Amino acid sequence: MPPSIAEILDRGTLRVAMYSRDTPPFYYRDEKGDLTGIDVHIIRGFANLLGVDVEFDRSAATFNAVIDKVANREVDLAICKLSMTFSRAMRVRFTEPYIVLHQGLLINRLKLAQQAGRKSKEEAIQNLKGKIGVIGKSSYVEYAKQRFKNTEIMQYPSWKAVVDGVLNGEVVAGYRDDAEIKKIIRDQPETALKLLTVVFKDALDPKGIAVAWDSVHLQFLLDFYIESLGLQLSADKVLHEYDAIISAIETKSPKSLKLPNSMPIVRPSDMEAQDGE
Amino acid sequence: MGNESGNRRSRFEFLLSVWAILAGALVGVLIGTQKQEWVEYIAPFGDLYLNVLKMCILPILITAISMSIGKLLKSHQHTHYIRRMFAVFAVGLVFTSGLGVLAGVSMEPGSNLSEESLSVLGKTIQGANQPDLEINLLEPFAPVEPPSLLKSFFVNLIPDNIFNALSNGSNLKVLFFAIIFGFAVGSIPKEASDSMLSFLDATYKAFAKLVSWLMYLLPFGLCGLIASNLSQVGIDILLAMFKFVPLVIGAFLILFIASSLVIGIRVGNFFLPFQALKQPVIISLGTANSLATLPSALEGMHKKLGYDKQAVDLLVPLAISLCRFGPVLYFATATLFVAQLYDIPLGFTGLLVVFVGAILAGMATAGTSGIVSLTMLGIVLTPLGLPFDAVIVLFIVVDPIVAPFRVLAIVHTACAAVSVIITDREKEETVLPAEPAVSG
Repeated sequence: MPPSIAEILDRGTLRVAMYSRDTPPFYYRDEKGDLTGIDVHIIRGFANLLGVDVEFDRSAATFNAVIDKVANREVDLAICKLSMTFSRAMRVRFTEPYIVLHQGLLINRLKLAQQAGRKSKEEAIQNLKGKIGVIGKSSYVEYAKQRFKNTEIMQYPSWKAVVDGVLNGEVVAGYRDDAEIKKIIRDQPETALKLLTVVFKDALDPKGIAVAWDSVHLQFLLDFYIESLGLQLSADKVLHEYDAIISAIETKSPKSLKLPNSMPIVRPSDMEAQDGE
Repeated sequence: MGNESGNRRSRFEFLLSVWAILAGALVGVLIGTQKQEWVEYIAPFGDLYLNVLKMCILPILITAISMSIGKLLKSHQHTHYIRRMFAVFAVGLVFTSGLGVLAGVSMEPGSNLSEESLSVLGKTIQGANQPDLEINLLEPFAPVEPPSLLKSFFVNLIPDNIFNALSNGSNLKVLFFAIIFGFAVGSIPKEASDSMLSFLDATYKAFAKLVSWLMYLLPFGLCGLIASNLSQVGIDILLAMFKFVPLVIGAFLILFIASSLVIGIRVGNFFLPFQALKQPVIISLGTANSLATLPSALEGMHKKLGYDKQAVDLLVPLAISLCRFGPVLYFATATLFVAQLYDIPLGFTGLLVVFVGAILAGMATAGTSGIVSLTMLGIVLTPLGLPFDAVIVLFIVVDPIVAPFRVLAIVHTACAAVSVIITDREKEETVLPAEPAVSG
């Protein structure tokens, strides 16, 4: 038994780090206060197949703090729509991306119109000036430094604060993945007058599950599991076909009958389509 | 209205009455708002009617203008008219733009909208849950250089092939050709030009006759046009723009009353303008197409108000095509609406930009109609730093309601302007016949 797996099975719980703020539809508390969402279902399905419980650690106030938890081995893995960036990959190991999002901007239309003048919108966006809002200590701090060299980066405590900053003109634009940008379109149509939504076709934001640098087999097993789910996730699918995704995860990773404490340990060999060691 | 003369044609005469036309319009309103499932059957009648009407427009435009310029040159009255024309047009444009700015500033149609209204406006702008732009971040964007306004105006003005311009319906080019051609015809020796002028005259009369026959079908055409127009407007967007739409329509109606007063003062009878221009008013409201209204406007001005035929035939088409009173007013109010929507305070300079920009943008709509003309709003919004692409959608959505009144403002105000330009009237023809004269 590889050590990274054996440790989890012996403990009987999978320790998962997750960012403290709710981010529907990926991970959030529903009306009953139960933790749910796509990331939550994916990792619960994985735990079901391992035959262990899941314990979510949501104490990390920033995304980088989530990475720290994985690097310091306080948890077995982290899943919370984590961007796979170079500086993070230097410290932890990532699975293959389970969803590849695109980077996008939420732009204050007025500020852009004033910046663009006679230039086209596209040109003005590519050469954005002024302040750009991101969630503090998230991957987008890094992306903004790379992509928008003429801007001053403003770090906000939460995405809501970023959106408010764009709305009241504190910053020209908010920078995050297209799932979040499109969510604003879906849930807050009244902002469309003030906000221009842009998705970059050629700037990807792959999201992976982070494990400790030496949890080689855990990473392999997660990859194998994600592959077997065959979800083909995308921003539009997540926002508009949520229920179908959840039921697909549930049928492929059924919850075993839970017998308190005296539960037989289900080995990975029970997973379907498994042969060899 | 009940005319029981022994006239053979009186069987269909009732179709020309105001009551028949109003009934057609009312049925159209009812179908467009209450029975939308009938619209697909009735809308083709409206389209066909408008197409037949449009068919007669270009020939009338060319013949009326060429002939009247040719005849004016022969009679040596033209310099007097041209000077007055520019003065009156300028005053009219300043007045309408001022009225538009005043309406926007005093009534504040875009301020303090409810969350619900903003949400509907937002949904309208967003369309179908898609982001506004999908672009590449790393490849430099190659912008398409927009042509300068002045350049595009002249490019749109001068045809390189008149038959091409005619077949494409480029009204501005046709207008330019007609003016130049009229000057040419007026400048050749009398014996050569007479036959040409009488040819133009005959063509003009024939098409005018066609249009007058078409008036029998107006109630049916109106019914179809109004029904299909109204069915295209979402009721929730109207509620969201509940301040703006009634405000501009109100402003157009004020303009209508002001024009009626002007004509009334000129002819010395305040009821006459309403009766004489009844048909152009109804057709402009029904078709929302200013040129389609041209034949009836010419007839009203000449036959019913007794203005000189040559002058009317020259000035009314010019005023309708070049002096876009309706769009000028609309752009002024619309710009203020957008500025208020975005909470941008416009100081005196800002208002001046709106005032001048609205006149320029309105003039730029010459030769276009409907939704294409709305894009000229960018001329006013861009210098003020207001986002144009988001709000244009809102104006497009409400346009089926607004356009008829905008066209009414174009046509009716043009008639008023012409009534001021022309100094003398032939009094003897001003007596209105109790029934439309059906001359053989």
